[in-house]
Amino acid sequence: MENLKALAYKLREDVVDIIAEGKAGHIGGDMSVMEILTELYFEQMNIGPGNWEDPDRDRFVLSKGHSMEAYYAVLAEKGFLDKEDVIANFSKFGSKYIGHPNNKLPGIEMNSGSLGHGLPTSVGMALAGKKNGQNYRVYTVMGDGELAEGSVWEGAMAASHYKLDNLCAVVDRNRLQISGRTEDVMAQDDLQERFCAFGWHVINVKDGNDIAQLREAFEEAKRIKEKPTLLIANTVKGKGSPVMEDKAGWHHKVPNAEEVQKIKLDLEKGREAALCE
Amino acid sequence: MSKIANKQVICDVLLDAAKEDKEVMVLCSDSRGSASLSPFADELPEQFVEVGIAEQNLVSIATGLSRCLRNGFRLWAFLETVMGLYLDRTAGKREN
Repeated sequence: MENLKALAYKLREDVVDIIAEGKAGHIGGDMSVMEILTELYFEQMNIGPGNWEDPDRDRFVLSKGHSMEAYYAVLAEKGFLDKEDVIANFSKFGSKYIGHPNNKLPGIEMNSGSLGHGLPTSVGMALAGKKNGQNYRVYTVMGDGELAEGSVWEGAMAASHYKLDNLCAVVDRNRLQISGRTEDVMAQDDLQERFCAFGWHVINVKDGNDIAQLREAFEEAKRIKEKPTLLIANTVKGKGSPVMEDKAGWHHKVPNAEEVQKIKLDLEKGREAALCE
Repeated sequence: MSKIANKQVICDVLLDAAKEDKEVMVLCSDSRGSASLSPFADELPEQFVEVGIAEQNLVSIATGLSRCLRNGFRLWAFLETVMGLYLDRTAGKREN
């Protein structure tokens, strides 16, 4: 578990390299979602290059598709992509490494990024699993600002109607979106009550950047029957460096050379601290 | 010459196809009556997905289904106002 904590910091360093070289990206959300992706890909899900064609593999949809640089770092670490190739070509003209998930790339299940559609497409995947009698699980990660999309709630309704206990959604609750605080743009603080009212089992993960807390929540979700589960992962946007933590301006800011140096130093310290725990 | 409504023909053809292939599925947004799909829903309930009056949800769920069902999958999604939106496996096809 400690290794995954350190790995999350190492993957954040990869994100900085991808964004600095590509001169584009959504660094704030990349940083907040990193432990969620790390726990999913390196502990929870049976997905890897070795079983990518297996119909019984778990499914993952990055509904908050703009956190693509974090996803690239994870997919490269899993062996789906070549990290150096991603860094060299991300966001370049004609590149296949675009700013949102593209299922022409290995390891990416579903195109996403038009917010609000990851949950209902995941409902379809979970429904297919039930109809086929398969045991795979379906995971999706949404942003908190994304929850203003009506399609999220249509999907939430259908998921509980069909008792999709093979579906687990996560909200990366970093409390910021491009225009500012979520509570100012479109309030989400009664999220737990809303999803409960829609028939979901809801787990509030106090620190969504904590691998141990995430693991406990994902394990609980697996034990829930006849209901989908939502994890509200309370995270920090820009997690890993005070330069960008909890600052809306870092939603998609590209760090300059000085900021890159400072951020990478902070991330290195975070990784070393994790290794020493 | 007797005339048969298009939607009835569609339902009959779908029923024939779905009996042969268990992965032919029909999604419906509370429109089984107006789209003449009730016979399909009654006869093959396991291959019929009701999503309620939620058309965008219907399309997204169909995309997820098409990604994960297996063999020669064909899917019909019926909207109340856009009858016979046809989606096939290419909606979620992996091309790697």
